Amino acid sequence: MMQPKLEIKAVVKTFPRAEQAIIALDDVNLTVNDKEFLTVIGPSGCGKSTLLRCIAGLEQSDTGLITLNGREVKRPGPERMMVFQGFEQLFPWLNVLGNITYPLRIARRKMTARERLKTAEYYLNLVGLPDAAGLYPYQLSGGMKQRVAIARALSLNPEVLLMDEPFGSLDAITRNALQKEIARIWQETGVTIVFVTHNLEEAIALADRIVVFSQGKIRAIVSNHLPRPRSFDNPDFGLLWDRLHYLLDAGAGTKEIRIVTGGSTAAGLVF
Amino acid sequence: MAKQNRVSHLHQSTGKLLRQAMVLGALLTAWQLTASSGRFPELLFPPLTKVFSFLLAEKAEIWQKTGFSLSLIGAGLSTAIIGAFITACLVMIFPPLHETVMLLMAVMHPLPGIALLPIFLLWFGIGEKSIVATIIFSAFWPLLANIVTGFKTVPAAQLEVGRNLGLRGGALVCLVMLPSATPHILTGLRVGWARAWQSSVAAELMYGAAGGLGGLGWYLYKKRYMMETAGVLAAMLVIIAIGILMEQLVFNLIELRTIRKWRTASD
Repeated sequence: MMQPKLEIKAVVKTFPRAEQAIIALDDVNLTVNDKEFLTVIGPSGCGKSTLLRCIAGLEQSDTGLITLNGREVKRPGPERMMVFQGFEQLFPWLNVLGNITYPLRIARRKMTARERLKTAEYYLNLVGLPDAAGLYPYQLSGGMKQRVAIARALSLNPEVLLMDEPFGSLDAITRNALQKEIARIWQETGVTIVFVTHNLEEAIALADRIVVFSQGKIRAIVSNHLPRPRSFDNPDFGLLWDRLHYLLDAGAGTKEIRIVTGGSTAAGLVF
Repeated sequence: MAKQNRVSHLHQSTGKLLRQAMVLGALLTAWQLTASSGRFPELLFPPLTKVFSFLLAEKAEIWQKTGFSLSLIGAGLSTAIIGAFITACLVMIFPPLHETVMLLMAVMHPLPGIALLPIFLLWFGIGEKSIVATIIFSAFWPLLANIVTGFKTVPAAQLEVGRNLGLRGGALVCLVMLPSATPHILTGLRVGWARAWQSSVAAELMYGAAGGLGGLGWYLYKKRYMMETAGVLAAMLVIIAIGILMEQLVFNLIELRTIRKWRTASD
């Protein structure tokens, strides 16, 4: 049995609007295991990003409880580092190295300058940018910016890495390359990852478990036992895709759906 | 790559400098030719040669006056900068303050600092204090407006990274908003500096020596009073020269080392 890393219990989050309050999270319960790669998929506006932001502490839930290693979290903190979708998350006034050492200086006060430098170099190497240290953000491509953002987040040695559609603004080729990279980085570092996306292939390629989200509710949690590295050529990839697509469609259409759990197929997929 | 950029920047800026020098040269030549044509009385339209010899002859006094003006501006501008930064930080940390400060800014910003000199004279008496107060008032509002705009236009993702690191309140303002707002802050400093100069000269022109032997404004006033037009023009040249030096040596250098290096300003 895996250790629960992150527990989300009965979390409700509404956004007051003039006409009608928007229910972004409607009694969400979820456990994320240690060293797990979990993806959350759902249509735009379904609340999946809000869930991530509540975990990060960037939004406060109305009711419910979020715990990390058994301790309640409310405020933002570097043990739950977030990687965002956009290309503006790097500090433009710092070069790549500075973008990693500056946050370390803020959040890891005990580190010496030498340790910070070594840490930054290690993670730049890990994300495949060993020679980019001196470049400023404007000199980087979108894919490189996201790599630096990932290196920055990992360098803080977070308990859980929160990724909010980090590859959503990239072209298909770069996106593919970075999916392979994050899978490798996850295996090398063993960090727990919660990854939000609306891209089915991405969710299947990366996750141990896939949370299907719509209208503020978890509609299904699907385990993914496809062997890594994952390939579209595997017929089971297609089967899982069909299954998830069906669940997403069903989730979009109706308010009440049973949570699909248990059962298994010959391909080793557990629903 | 970075080196190439710097070299091409250098080329661009020397080219620009050359063009600027040519335009200024043409202007001065036109002045000299007009003056020496004899169409206008020399008393009203002195030739440049006379202006320059005046500049040389009264070198000591002009130096001293310039120093005095600059010291007043230094005192006023630095106070305005510190005050504007603190106010802008407070506005960001305590959102309820925002509306009040915006209202104050809307009321005060269009008011020329010099228009407040009469009341400052009543409050602080004739002398340095009133002039410095005028300078502070003139520079404070444009500085504040630009700094607040800079703080408010920091990309949301950068603020959230800061919050994610555990930063809040003043620390978030100083460590994330401040560096991110550099382009706006530089604009604010430029406007603030210009306003400070204008006020210091205007105040002395209207109300006499700010104290001691007075500054450049007082010098201008005296030369006009004595009908020493060449002296008036000499003081004007000094004011222009200081403006150019400040722009080239201070603002341009800061810009090259910050927002041009980071490419956060649109060229």
